[in-house]
Amino acid sequence: MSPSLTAVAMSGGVDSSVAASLLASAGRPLVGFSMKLVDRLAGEEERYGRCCSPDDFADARRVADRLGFPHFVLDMEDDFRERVLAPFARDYAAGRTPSPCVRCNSHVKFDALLARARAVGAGRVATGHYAVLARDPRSGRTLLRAAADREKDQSYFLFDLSEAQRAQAEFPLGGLTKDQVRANAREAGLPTAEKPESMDLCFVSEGESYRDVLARAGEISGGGPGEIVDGEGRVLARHPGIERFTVGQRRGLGISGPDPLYVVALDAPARRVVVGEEKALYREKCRVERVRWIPFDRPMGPVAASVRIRSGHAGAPATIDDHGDGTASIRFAEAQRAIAPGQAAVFYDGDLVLGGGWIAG
Amino acid sequence: MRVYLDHNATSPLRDEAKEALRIAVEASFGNPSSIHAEGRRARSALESAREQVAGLAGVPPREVVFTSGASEAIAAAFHGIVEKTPPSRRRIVVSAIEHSAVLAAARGFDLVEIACSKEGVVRADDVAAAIDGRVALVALQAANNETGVLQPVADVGEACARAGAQLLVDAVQAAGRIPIERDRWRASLLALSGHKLGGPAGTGALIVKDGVRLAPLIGGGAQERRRRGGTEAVAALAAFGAACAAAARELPAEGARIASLRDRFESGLAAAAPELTVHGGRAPRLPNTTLVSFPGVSGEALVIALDLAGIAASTGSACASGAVEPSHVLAAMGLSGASAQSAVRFSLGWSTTAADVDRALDAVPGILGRARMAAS
Repeated sequence: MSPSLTAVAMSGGVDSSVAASLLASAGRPLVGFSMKLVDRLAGEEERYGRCCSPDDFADARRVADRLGFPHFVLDMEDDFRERVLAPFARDYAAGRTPSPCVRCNSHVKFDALLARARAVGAGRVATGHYAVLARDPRSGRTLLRAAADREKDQSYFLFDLSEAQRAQAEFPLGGLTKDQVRANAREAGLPTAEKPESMDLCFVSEGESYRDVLARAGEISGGGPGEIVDGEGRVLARHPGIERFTVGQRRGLGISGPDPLYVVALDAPARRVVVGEEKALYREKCRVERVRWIPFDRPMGPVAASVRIRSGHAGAPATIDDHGDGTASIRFAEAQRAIAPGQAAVFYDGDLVLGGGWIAG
Repeated sequence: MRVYLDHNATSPLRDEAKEALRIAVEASFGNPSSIHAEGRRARSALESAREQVAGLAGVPPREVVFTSGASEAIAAAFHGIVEKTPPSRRRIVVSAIEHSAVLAAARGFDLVEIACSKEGVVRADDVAAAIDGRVALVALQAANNETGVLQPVADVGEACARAGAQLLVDAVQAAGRIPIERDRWRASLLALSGHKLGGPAGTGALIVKDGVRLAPLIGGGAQERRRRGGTEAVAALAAFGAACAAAARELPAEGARIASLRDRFESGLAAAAPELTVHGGRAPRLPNTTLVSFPGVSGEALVIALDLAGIAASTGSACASGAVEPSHVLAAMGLSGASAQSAVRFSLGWSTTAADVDRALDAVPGILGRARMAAS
């Protein structure tokens, strides 16, 4: 009930457990929340052993018990379906490569969950993300920086939080390495200390693909079969639906030729998959929309930055021209491979996240 | 100090039950089926408990079959009746608002599910219309666990008697709160739970009227007159018996006391939030249960905020993961998603005091205000 109550989002993994433990050790009043995101779709018994399963909730609850604060499981399936799964499916159907984790952060964890936290008197949400938030005394804004552990850094997935969201978020692990987090968990005797890393998309179970999840949710609608064509528009083969392809993909095309072929573009209205040689994947420019800047509202002129075009991309030097209408153009110093519409492009100045946008073409 | 207003989920152990448990653990060691002194001592404790449970249910002690709880009693009733019924007569009739233990036990049978009114009452005529010579068993709760609304068990019992069908009454929420009138209800079977009336969880009983043929669900022993195998949990059942005796003794006065606390609580809530809805509020209800919705406020948020403020209440039914699932009872009453998701249940009991009610009422306006602000 205290105004300083903080909600900790707990997945049942080691990271969020240690985040909670650090705050609890600092004497902060806490309430733990685990989000049930998908199991009504999957059937409860099928979800055991993966993220969002009752086993993970039980682990989160044990950690909260150990640390001495209350823990609750929140049913957030509707939020997750509307704000993450449905756009994820729409992206694929439109020939884009979605970034569900970015959407989950800005629309579920730091929006729907934050609202539920506020409803019970908690003004902040802490998570086990690896990223750093710091208030800039000059501008009064909340700056986002890459984590100390660059291997684990998750700042890419957090670029689309608003200033209000960043101001109410807290990432206790930002200054730690994964090894330190594990050591911390062992030292604190947390029951989750030795849990393996969760990989890939949290809402996809082992042994199935994201397409199975979407099919079960009734969310796939890619418009049906179409043609696979080369750069000159020659038809090489047919495909079952463009939602099965992403830019840069090589496998599963069903075409044999002297040189390996890659998906270089997806033409959703024509239901066409355009393929080409690897060199056709390289582009020097792209356009982004729904641009967000973090340290300032809008830049005064072109911005030099290191731009990451997907979560696994190290970043490449580029110049960004903000057009003032929510869109921007990015010119890379060197051509980049497989710039995929639908992915987030995130702009960095060293470890400082300047902002980002959604690749439109 | 916590305020506990969730007696329909489980009731704190009564002092009488604690004492009986302690005595039985210390002094009633032995297997009640053994012939030696230790066995006889355990048998004696067990039979005393049986008399106490029978006393609350208003039945002869020999009709009491001890079980691990009401869910087992219900499963045993379904299995036991159907096994002894010819295949041509295995239809089951249940109401849509039965406890999930009943709905689960009924799954897989030739099943007729009877709807309820907007007030959460099952109409006896609707049940009667579904009963014919093909029906083996009818299951109807005496009172609903979510709304507390009383069901027309006596009228349904009469229809069952006419058609020669057996009636199973789930009396879990009724026991200790209103009189159990097995004979007037014409119930062949009654299911009871220990922990809803101040006994320990893990205890319950199936009351089987003389003459009703019942195949055992759990075989392997002669215990409970061959109706339930397995060595009886003597100490826990002694505590169950003591809780039943206390509940039976206090029932007339306690019913009135709880009803007046509940009325005070409901008027206090209405003063704080005139727009509230008490589900089933116009139907006859148990004296202890209030299921209430505050429009536009999530029940989940209220229950969490109440808990953080030291007050235990509940919402809907919890699923395996602990999250709140939509209530099948409110759905059967015709409530939509949003309306059903705003429901919060307060259930009073033997340990509830006027001070508890006042503390809960003090906390509610602030909690409601904050939840409304976050929702807007």
